[in-house]
Amino acid sequence: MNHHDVRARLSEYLEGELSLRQRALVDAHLDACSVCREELGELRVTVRLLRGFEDAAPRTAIADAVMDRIRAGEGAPSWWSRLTAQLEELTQPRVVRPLVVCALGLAALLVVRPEIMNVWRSPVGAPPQAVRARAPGLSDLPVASAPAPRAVGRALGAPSADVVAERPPVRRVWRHVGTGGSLEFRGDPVYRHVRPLLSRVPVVNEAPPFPSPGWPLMMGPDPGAGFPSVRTVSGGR
Amino acid sequence: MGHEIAERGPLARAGAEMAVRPAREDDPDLELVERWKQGDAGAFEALVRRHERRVFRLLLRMLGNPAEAEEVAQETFLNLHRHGHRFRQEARFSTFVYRVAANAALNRRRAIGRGERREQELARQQQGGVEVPSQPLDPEAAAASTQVRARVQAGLAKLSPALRLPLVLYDIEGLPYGEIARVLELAEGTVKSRIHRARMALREILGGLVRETETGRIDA
Repeated sequence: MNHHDVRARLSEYLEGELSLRQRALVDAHLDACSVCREELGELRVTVRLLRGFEDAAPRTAIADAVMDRIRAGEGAPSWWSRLTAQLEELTQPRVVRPLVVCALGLAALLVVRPEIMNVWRSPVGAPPQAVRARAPGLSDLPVASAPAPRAVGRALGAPSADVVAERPPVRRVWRHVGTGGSLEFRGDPVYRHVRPLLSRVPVVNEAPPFPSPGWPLMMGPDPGAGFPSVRTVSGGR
Repeated sequence: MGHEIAERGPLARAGAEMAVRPAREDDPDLELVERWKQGDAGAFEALVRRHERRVFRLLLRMLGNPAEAEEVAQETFLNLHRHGHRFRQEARFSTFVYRVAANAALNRRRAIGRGERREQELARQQQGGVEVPSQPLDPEAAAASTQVRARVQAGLAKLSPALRLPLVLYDIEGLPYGEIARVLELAEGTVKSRIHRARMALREILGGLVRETETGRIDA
């Protein structure tokens, strides 16, 4: 340990805060270095002088003066102070932490079940006609507006058939199917077939371009028919 | 060789448990603070009475003038009353009080004008002696002691506030490093380093006095 190291540790040495090893090193240096010994002695006296300050007391009663001034209207928190205090209160960990946990929970839920967002994305029950009008090129295709469940099944199950979804988006349809919005399909082969297909289908907007032919899509419940209407693009039966 | 200071030093006075204790549970002011927050003015008055002396002492060592220290102490408690709702009980109330007082002292110094006028005033006081209440044993010793204190106080005034404040809190007020770190919102290592630098600087400033005291010509 050199001269500089020892000088930097003299306070810790005085307070007894050094490890045994460090203390031994400082002791060894002090034995050999009269300059550091002198500095240590002076530092010890400096500390003693500081700690020799006697307790001082105010000559006037501070509490009385303070309370008089408070009674006279001083020391009241300003509106700005109250406002900042309330803002600080809102940013306290005990307030923020539950909000962060809720936000993370919601984010995780959205990752696992993104279809939840479709609840807000697409209004249920909008007229299918409006969709057709915005899908030029498809309007001339035959539309099975109210097919029998088995007909839908055939359309979906046929390798050459493409089922076009109109609205609401497909995942929304799945929700309806899955939650009983179209009870007609429950227990029917159609439902069992639709379910795996829908897991592959991205949420689509009603605006063109539609997915390319070959993508099986489902429509939402037709308000008039009470179950999805299906349109085949090519090879539908 | 160096343990004699530690034995009567702040760590010994405050107890080693201070370093690891939770900030709130053992706060003796907690009940009064709760009552004050519920609108009990008497509780606030009790808190002022409990802390006025230590606030005054800190300000006296920071400002060097008893009258000014009293005035700033009043401002400190008024500020405390004004901003007391910001006390979150994450630290001891006394730590919060020290922090408000330290800020008040620093603000006062800035208002005075970067210390220049302060230095002149302290030099004048040094000649006349700073009036610090004490209980001397005999008049001769009292005179010598007053003179020594005045010189130490004048030496303290020459330190920058950044060094003086931790030094006063540790060596005069006897706070442990952890609490000083909370008061000054610094890392504990920074506090230790500043205390050491302040001591070394004060040793240089007091030069002659230190040597005279060391050789026994002056009784500290």
